[in-house]
Amino acid sequence: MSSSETKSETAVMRLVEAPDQTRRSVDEKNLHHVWSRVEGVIGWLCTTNHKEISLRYIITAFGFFCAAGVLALLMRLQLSVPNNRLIGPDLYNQLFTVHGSTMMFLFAVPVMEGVGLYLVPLMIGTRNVAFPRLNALGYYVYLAGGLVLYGGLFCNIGPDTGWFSYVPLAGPDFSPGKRVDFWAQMITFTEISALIAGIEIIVTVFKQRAPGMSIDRIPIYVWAVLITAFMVIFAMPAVMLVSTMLAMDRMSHVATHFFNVAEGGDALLYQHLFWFFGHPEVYIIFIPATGFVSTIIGTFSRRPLVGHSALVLSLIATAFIGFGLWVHHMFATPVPILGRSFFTGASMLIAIPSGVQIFCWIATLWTGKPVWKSPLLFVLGFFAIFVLGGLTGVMLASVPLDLQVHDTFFVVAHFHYVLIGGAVFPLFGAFHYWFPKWTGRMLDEGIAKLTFWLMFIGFNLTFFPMHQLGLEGMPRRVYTYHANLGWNGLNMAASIGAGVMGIAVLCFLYNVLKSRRSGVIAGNNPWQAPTLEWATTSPPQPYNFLYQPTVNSMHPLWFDRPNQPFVVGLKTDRREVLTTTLLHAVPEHIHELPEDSCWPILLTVVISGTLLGVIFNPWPFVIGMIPMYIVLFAWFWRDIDLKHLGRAK
Amino acid sequence: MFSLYPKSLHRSRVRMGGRWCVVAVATTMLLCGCTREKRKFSGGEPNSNAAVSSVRLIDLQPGGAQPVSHVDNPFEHNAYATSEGKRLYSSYNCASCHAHGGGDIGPALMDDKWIYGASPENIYASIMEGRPNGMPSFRGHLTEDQAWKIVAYVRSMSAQVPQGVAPNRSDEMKSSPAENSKKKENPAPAAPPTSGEQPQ
Amino acid sequence: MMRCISPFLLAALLVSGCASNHSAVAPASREAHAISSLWWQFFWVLGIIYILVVATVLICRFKSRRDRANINLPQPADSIPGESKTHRVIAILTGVSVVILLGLLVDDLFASRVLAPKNDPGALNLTVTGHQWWWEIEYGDQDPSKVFQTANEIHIPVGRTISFTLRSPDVIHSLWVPSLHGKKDLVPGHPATLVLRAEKPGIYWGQCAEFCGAQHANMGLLIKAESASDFAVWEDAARKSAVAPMTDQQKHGQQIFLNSTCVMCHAVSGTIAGSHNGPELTHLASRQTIAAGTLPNTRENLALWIQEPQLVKPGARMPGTGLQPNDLADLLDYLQTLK
Repeated sequence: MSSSETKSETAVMRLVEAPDQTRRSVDEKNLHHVWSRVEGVIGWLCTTNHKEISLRYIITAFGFFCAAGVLALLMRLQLSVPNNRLIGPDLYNQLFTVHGSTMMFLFAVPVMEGVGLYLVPLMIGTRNVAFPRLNALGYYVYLAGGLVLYGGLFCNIGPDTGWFSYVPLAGPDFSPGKRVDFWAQMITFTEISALIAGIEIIVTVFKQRAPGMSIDRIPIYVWAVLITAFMVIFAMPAVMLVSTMLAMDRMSHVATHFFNVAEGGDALLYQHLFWFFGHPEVYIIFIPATGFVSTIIGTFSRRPLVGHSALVLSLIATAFIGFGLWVHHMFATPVPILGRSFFTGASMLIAIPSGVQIFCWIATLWTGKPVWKSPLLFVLGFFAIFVLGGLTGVMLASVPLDLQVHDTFFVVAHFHYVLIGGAVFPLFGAFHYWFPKWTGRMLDEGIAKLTFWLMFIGFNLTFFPMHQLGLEGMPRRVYTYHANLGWNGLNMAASIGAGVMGIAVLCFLYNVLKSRRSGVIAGNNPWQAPTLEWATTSPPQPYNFLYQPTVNSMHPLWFDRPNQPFVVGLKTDRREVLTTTLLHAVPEHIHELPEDSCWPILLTVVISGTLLGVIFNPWPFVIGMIPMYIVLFAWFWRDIDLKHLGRAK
Repeated sequence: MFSLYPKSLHRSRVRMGGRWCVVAVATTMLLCGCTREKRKFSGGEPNSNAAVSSVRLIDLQPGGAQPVSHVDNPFEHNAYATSEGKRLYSSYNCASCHAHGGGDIGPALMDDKWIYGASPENIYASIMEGRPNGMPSFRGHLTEDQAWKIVAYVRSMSAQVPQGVAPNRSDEMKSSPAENSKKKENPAPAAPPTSGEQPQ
Repeated sequence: MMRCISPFLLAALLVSGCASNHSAVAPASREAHAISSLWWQFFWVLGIIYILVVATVLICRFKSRRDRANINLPQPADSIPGESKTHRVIAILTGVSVVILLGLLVDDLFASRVLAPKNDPGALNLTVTGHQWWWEIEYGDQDPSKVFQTANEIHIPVGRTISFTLRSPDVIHSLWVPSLHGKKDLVPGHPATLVLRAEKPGIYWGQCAEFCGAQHANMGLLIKAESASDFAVWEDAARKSAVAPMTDQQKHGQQIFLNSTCVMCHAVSGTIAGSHNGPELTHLASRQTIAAGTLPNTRENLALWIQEPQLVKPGARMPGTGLQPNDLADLLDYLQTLK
């Protein structure tokens, strides 16, 4: 362990091996006082504790997951028999649009962010994220965006042009009213939130790792979330841009012509910009899930992952190549043939790093001594489902095959296999794995197994027949179909499967509610896992770790010596974290984090008002700048306290 | 470190009422969208017989004036119906005489001058009955709900309908501002052209 | 051997494939055959890979039953015996994957060549214009007087290259007849070309495959591939104007057609009806379906469609006419003469 003292503050921080007991209880009390939030509603709204905010992300995202699931059940009910008159075309169009938009923007990305924002500071051994108030803002803006979308749906202003809302259908001429504008603004909200989360993760991981956690010792899950954060920063601006262009085309008095062919615009421009975001988006959802899989396999195989470097490099390769695939969503459009071939090659190429990951994981299971608890069961489900989806993805990479199955139920099957198999199953595995850490109690194993089997069977019953439906000519986004086309039985099977999946989710909810009250007490490390989050209490204290831990390996709780030193000397009367260097995690300086604050939620209110107003008229955009600047000014106003000037650099 | 108020009051209460107000306002704004956003595929037009029987082309009345009540066209509160009116206006070639509202051999429809009345029942009557100097009679060739939709659109051309309802720009070459960007005109009667003259 | 029964159906409830006229694995054209063969090649290669992966995972699951009792303390990676062998296995498998993917890529490129537009001077040129929610087709010819239009039903000769030019004046649609070819989008501002050569006579069902609004689900079309001689007969008939009505009821029906809402949108060549807002109806009675494939073309369905179109296809542009029963009967009589 290199220098334990910073240059400018001598005799302030020390490495100790075991702080004595009286010292510990005093420090515990003080830290608790400094890091916990004010009681009551106000304190609840103004918290900047990353764990509280993350749990809100997770619970809100799960709520949206259930809402979108209900919409899906309604869709399947309508499609269970041909020529069904249960739901008319207008409502059905809103259902599938809101289902897709919810799952992609309001569930998948936020839940991955939420879990990441909870675990990353714990896994890297710090007390909070780098910008606690910004973190709170990210959550509130996300919540506001979700409420905008669902408020719209309940008032019959739900968007109805598909989750990717192609122009000219979603343009000003063919989508009257404000439905598409609600969609476009929801995008703005959720993308601000995603960018915020991305920035948090990157800065926290780069600057606040525990001393000794050099770059080759970063846990694989942290790598996954870090790479995702970079993808977010490069991909999200494209969708913000395209949704803003669409909103401006539709806005009174502004009425631009970005997508108006007659005035020199281009309908395909929309697709390019959207899918430049849209393809990385699915990797933004998938890569954190690979982090879950890696972590769970690592822990339960009772050995370090095979090919850790290969796994990390595969993630980076996936992220990088993922930006070069987007035209495979547009193979049926009149884009040049030679260009399409390039994207075929790239789309097949990305299977290689995913394949490497699969091989490494299976090798870990093969050479380890797996303990088959419920998180690992969900990972098995991931293998069975995601791999099938990935292989149908290789089929879709081929232009001739894609031309047959694009925009049909085959592709619906494909993306549900990769998204549910590749993200939702690992997510449920992660819930079962980290629930003890988040709540201090274990989930019931029996109900967990039931949940898994119901979900696995229900999922395959729902989506496997859809491959055949697509090959048989059934397009997507149809509210009904004719009785004589031979699709009846498969649709009925899919609808029954959807019901089974719904029951699985209810089982899970029951398990969560029951275990919160009466689950087995978990203790610090019920799974005997290797990473730092298991070194502290379950649930963690507001300050995460009593003393700043240091690490000496990638699996601190397995391979570090029992008397691995801690850093003492961070003040316990203010919120301080230790920042370290990027590559070698050598302590650099002490950073003071702000207190809890009401500015994030106030800024959310201002942003919400502005963005909602802009749906109806362009002027709120200008007018809204005034309160926005006022709030931002207040937010950034800093007290200069001379006493602390030397410390807070 | 953030501090809006002195450190000693650091953990005191902050007024949060503003947030709930905005939520209430936003919810109200959203709820008002129900009528505007509804997509009724059939029906919903006013009673055409009643409308036609209530038409007054001239305000002048003998003796005491009976109150003038105008028909409320529900399509004028519905964005879908008004945009359907725009589509029908284009399909049925109204632009061949009225252009995109600016007028050609037929009078302009987006200005404030109305020869035969600007209220919905008057415009409905103009379409269905036809008018001298070249306006065809569409009765029997348009269904009633089609005609009322066109009425809603025509009124939107001079911004007589709420801005949220009026159609956006169309995906064509820009000939005039979109209906939801137009300035609201105050309809005033105009003299009909004497035969041979173009309308003013 | 042409595989037309898909193994997917072993797990599903019906048998289909061979008899289907709307299946990507029941091809009836040169291009669809190329795609279908490619499909089966990919299916078998990738299917075997899938089975191997799942089998390996299941072996992991069940092979460790023996020593589940002992949970050994973990060891660092570099002190686990056989680790470098594991790495080598992974490297070899990765190499094998690369080779397989390259093979599939080459396969794909060969199939793509079959699909590429060809410059065939003997090709029949059709222009398909997608509308919300019906198909307009124009049959091109060197001689402008031989150009004619139809709607929602396409006839093509077997064995001859057909070149479709695809346009849309409103939103994006997608022409897809699975047994004959993959799909191609009709994008406003970007005319596209689709080339196919049917090899088997039959009637093939297709649907719009890009979400285009309220009635996207009911924007179907039929392509009838027939022998060259049958096609020539059909083409000649299609070029002709509508026959004049004979009986009094038919004449009255024509009057209703021309005097009411019908004439505002529909064209019947040989009469004054010339509007192109909706499908042209010159040979309506010889079509298999009405309302873009939504209903079979029978007298009852036609009556329903004319009286209550919003019941059949809510959101469609066709208004309900509210005709009296006698008038409706005469109109139907007239429409049924439009062969």
